[in-house]
Amino acid sequence: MRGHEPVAAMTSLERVLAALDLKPVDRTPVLPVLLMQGAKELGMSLPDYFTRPTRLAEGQLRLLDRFGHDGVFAFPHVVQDVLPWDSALDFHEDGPPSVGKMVIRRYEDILDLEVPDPTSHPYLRHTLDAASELARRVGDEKLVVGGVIGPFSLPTMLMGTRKFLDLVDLPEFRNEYFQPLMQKMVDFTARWATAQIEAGCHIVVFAEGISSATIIDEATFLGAAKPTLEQFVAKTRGALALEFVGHGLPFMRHVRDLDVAALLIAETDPMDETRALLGPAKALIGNINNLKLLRWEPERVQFEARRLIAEAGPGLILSNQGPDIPWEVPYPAIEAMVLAATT
Amino acid sequence: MSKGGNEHIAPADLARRLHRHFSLAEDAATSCRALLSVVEEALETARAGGFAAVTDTLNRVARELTDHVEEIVAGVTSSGRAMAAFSAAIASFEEEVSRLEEQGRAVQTNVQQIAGISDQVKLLALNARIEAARAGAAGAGFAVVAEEVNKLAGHSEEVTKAITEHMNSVTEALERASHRFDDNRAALEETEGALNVLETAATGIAAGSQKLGEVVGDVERLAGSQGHLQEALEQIQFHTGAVQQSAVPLVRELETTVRQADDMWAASLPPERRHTVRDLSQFEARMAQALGRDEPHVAKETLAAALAADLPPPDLLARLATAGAKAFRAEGYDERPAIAHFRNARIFEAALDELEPLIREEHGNRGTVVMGNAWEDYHDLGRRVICITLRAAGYRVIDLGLSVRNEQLIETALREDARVIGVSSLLLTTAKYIPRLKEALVRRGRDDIKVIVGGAPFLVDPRLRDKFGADGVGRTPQDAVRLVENVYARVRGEGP
Repeated sequence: MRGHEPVAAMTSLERVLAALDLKPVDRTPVLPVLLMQGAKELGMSLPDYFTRPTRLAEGQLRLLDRFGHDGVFAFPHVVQDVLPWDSALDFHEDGPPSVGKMVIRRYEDILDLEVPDPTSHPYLRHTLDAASELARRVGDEKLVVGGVIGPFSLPTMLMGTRKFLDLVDLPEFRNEYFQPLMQKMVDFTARWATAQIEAGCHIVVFAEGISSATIIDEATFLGAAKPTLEQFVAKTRGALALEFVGHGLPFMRHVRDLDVAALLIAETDPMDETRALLGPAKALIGNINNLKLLRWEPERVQFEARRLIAEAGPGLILSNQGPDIPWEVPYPAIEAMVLAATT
Repeated sequence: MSKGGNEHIAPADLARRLHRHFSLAEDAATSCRALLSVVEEALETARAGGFAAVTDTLNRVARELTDHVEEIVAGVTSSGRAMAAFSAAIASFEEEVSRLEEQGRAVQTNVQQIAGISDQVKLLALNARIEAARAGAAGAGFAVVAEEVNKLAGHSEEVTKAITEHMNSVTEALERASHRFDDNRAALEETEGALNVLETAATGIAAGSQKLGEVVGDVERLAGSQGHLQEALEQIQFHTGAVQQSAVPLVRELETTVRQADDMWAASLPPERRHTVRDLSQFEARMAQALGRDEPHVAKETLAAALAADLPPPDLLARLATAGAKAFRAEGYDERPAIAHFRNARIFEAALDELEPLIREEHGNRGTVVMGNAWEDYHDLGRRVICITLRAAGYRVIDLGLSVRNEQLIETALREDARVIGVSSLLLTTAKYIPRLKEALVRRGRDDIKVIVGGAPFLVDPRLRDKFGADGVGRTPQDAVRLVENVYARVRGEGP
């Protein structure tokens, strides 16, 4: 905030909330998206950590102790969102779980699909318990972040990308099945995001990879994705952050009026151009390339992070682009990101 | 037509080969452009001290460039050989034509001699009749003989006339054929000239990329002493510029060459069939447009019209592949969203579904490839596009779909005698199954079956290829085709 009055020291939560309001901050808040690393802190394997989400809060708190960043993540991974739909997860030693089963095999299945109650699934209940615990233990000082898969992206995890994009693209399928499907997705995701807010999260990030310009064109965004996102935002009670998990720049001007507090942006979307298209009302979270952290030396991480801080105006929360920081990223790279903001 | 051990090369085959070389050269130019942007980025971030990242990237791009270059040099050399064989074939044919013309001329001389003899016989017969009249009854027998001689002379004259007419038409036909080959030879000479330029340009690229590789090595050595890094990077930029200077004219020249090869092909066809070449070019252009603009109805109509016009299905397939390659390489194609690739895939699939049954027997099988997404990977876009492109290139593709176990990939490859397994993986967590696939192949003594991989993790971190033991990484569908072609060229004993 060069040229402004010095800002008194803030707690992490004050700092992040000020940034979300695009107000002056004592330093740039920093929020590396650390999900899997909780397992390392607890000395557990990833499958153990992820099959027993009861340890989630403990893992996040230990990460906070280690890195001293400004918030915690109250969800183990977003792939958990498929579980209430009678899907399954496959667990891995060195990465987040992946979807183990497609539940919509024929378009006709959409009509019979019943929207599950996210809070009734044991796995997701554990997640809500972790959110409550994190809110209770550090929620007054640190940002507690929830996460869901957005309504336009969740179908790809239930039926596959090709099947969903064919549905969106081909009139013979779209006319009959698109609206019923989206209605069910919005109902579920809004309910799940609201549940996380009610459990104590300050903000919920909704991951919308399929809405990004990496996946769809502008006409599809405007005609199919955006109305869905608007319904989801309107139906969710609480603060939201949109994450394109891909190239978002071409659509930034179209989400100017979407009622979200912040956007997580990808490395491909330069901060200054994003800001110009988005206007001055939303915070930007990002946008160190999470995969490059695998091979960047700490000096390079610091250089890139400091460059971002210098170039971005008010309303930056320094972070990585989505989804989260890979398991193999060395700790010095993560420390370098935090140090760039704190020193 | 075979002479001196030269392989007979049909003009159509030559034109097809040149189309392929054109694709390769365009790839090289694209690589050079990518390299330039990487180097620009490297220069910008040199101060950051991220040497490992910079040199990793440079290494990767330089290696890819070198691969392209090797392909081009091989392609150009093969074109040169094809052209030489064709040239020899034409020369041989021309010799035969000359010999025929000489023989024709000799026959004409003979015919003229026969005509002269005939005239003499006629004169003799006339004299004989006069003498017989003078001799009166005593000469009656002689008159009969003279009459017969006269008839014989008349018959000889008719035969001679017929032979002359026939020889005239043969000579005219030979002259026409000779003119046609004159036309061909002119096109051939131009093409050979263009190929010489190509060879020079390709050699320039080869030298440039070798130099680039050396400089990358220098950068790695210099990474420890920052002072020289900037200078080294500037050198890279200089050499990259030089590489691009070679690649750009290469592409331009090849375009001309391809056009000339088409002309030559057309000239070698009977007049009533020459439209085929023009129609194929139009087919390619319209399909490229349909792909670029996502117009499935245009593609459908274009293919239907081409088949109705009896254009050869193997040529349509080749042109479809070229149209696809052009669409893939069009500026901004990489920035297009995935949904556009899906639309293209649908266009391709529809066209291939129509063409495949028509060409299966004629086209033959260039090899078999088993494709699948890694176990637990459910992202099928990349795999689908690769499958289609491989099919369009003439390979039999066995697509096992999403989330395929290594055992299934191996069993299928063994059963179907495939030498390549292609695995697509969008996630790092699912890509981890790839090394196990390689290990399993080695355990079964079948490390001759190559594993090529594609997907986001390999694009972002080039070191994964070596780490996972993959035999190749396909960045684009054309990359995948090239990798598969390399494998099968080695299987056929043609490759390095």
